[in-house]
Amino acid sequence: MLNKIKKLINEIIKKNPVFVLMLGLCPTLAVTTSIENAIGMGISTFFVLLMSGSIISIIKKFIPPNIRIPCIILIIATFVTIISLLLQAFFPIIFENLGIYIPLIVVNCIVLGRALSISYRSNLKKSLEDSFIIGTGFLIALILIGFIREIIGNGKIVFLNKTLINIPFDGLFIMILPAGALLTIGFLLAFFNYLKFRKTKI
Amino acid sequence: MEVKNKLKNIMVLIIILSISLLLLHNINKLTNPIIQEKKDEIFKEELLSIFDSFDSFNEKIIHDKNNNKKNTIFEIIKNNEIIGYAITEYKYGYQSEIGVLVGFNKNKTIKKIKIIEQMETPGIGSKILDKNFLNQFSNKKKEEIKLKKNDGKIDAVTSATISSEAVVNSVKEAFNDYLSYINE
Repeated sequence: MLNKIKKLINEIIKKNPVFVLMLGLCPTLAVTTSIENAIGMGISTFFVLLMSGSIISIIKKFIPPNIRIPCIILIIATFVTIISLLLQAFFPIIFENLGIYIPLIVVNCIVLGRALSISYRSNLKKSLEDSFIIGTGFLIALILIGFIREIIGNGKIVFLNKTLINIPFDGLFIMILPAGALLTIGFLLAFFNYLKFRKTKI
Repeated sequence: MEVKNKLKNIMVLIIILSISLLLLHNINKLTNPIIQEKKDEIFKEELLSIFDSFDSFNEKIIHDKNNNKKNTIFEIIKNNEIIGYAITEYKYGYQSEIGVLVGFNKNKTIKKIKIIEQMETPGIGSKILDKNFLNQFSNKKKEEIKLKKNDGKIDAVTSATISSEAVVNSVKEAFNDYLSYINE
């Protein structure tokens, strides 16, 4: 059991969509202005990945290969609409902040790529496992970037109307802008690559 | 064979589509009342933040004869008396639609304005949400609603002239609608 969890964590790190596979960078850069938005986006994508992945792997036998893309997009779009309706009903503030990026999950390359390369070709168990690993990795990456941008950009972390961390610092406004997103992701990538290649001698 | 295959493809797509439509229809039926309720609640809260307390409000449709458009004016009622009016107006700002809710006193001045919708650049255009900017509109008459560079009395938000102008124009338009409504 412990071994399995260890393996899962290892997979989550090794297959991280943002830092390793470099997928889904557009929504990552756009929505991580605060930790709240990052969590909203991460959980929405997680739900869509899991649901569409399992449905596609169940009905893959009935989908003719030459129309697989429209069928898969149709299934993904259904779940994206469901999540956007649910967000609108129960978390209207997060829905408003995420704006266009919720409908754009339909063409998110993480969801589409995983559906085509894994779910369409493997059984339910493997598909669920892969969706879980990728979804969690994406969520963690978003939270990490959102945390760094919000704490440097605003000087505080606000989650569900509660101020969790407050540092005496006015905030570096550039971190909230798109440039801040690029800077953050660049430094994080450099850091992770340093960890990866630290042991190998050139 | 060709035709049979094509028919099969179409059938598969239609089946997936109908299942997804059925699912979405039911979820929409479930969530729609909640969404509407939340929207009404938010709107009532916005009105409460302009008029400190009121009992109810009436919706009246007004027609603007000049550019043939419709808008809704809200009569705010307290103790069976109209204490003010409110109009929402939408104008395109720098990169998004800005919705402004304008509350009027009975004596042809503005009580308070509120931004109810905007997606301007965070930190620049979004500073139109600042109290310092919005409070300038309180108790102003129609002639005074202009930016200072056009001989008015409103200070624009620094480096966000376009967003500020959109707000000012919205307020002006709401003022016109309000005046033509009470003069009728």
